[in-house]
Amino acid sequence: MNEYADRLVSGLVSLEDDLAREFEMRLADSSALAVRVAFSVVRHREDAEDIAQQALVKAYQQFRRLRERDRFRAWLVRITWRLALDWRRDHQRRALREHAAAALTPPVGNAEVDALQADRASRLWAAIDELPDRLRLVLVLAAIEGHTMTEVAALMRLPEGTVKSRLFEARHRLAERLR
Amino acid sequence: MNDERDELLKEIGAALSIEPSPAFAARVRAELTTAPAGLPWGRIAGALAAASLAVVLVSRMGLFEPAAPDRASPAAVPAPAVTAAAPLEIAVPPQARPRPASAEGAARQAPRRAQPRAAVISPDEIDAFWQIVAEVQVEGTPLPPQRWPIDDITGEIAGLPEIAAVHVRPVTIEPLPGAGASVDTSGGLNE
Repeated sequence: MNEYADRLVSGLVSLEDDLAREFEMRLADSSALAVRVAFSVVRHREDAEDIAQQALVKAYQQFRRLRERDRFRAWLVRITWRLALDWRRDHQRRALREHAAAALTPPVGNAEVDALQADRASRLWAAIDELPDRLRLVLVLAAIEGHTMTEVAALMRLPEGTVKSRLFEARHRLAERLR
Repeated sequence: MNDERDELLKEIGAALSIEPSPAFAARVRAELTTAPAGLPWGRIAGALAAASLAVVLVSRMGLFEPAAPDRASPAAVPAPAVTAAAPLEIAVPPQARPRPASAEGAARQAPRRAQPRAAVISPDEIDAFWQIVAEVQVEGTPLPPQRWPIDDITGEIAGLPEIAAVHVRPVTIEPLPGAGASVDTSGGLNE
């Protein structure tokens, strides 16, 4: 009886160890993705890291059913996006205005160039903010890490054709706004 | 046009190409050590489903029905010796008697009769039941010995004098005086 219990306990401990190891792999693999998705919404590095951290903690609590890499990343993108939208709703536009230009355009030292780049970034992100969510997330995921259409479709759990048409529409709207 | 749009994607990608700070992973790990582990909802749901199934099965087997009088062991309660009496028949008013059912009526009533009686078991009893089962399975704890009130008074019963047989004399009912005379119950309507 005791031997059986020992084996059971050691089996459970080893299962937990395996889960912890796998989660470490996912953490290394997907941290940047979560931070970038959050940053695309809040445009503030520390806030983006806080949001990504919350998302990863939630992912850890669900990790038993999220052990597949693709499933984990898709879930992480969704939950990070939602948390970031919540954060932005709570902090509204004040923080965005403060952060947007400075965070997205590192200064190059020339005041005139810096001003032009800040203006361009400000217009670009204002246009991105006006896109509906379904187009905005596709655009951000396609821009991040050079994701292919197939990868974006897997991350969003959508058919590839849907992703293509959404990306086409998003880019078209952006180009119109920035012309 | 396409080049322009691709430039847009590159511009957005460049703006978003930030890396987490070196302390990020350490902060996540620290947060995980303090965050409560997620509840295994799948296991909890499975256990609840199994418990519900067990309760339904047990109630269908009648284990929680109220105990019927034990007819097989009349010695448990010393009954007085009585003379054989005619079986008691209780008069039932005609409207309360079951009507001879037609085929359709029988078909309608059959499902109603087939419904099992709902067993009402308090949550405490269910908890106690599963606690005992779990202890028996895990610890090998023996079930608590059954103790009945009759065990406490067995010795006292043995010391009592034997009950003598009781003889009941048949009761004879005499006719009422004047019952033989004709009684006019028509209230004078026959006149």
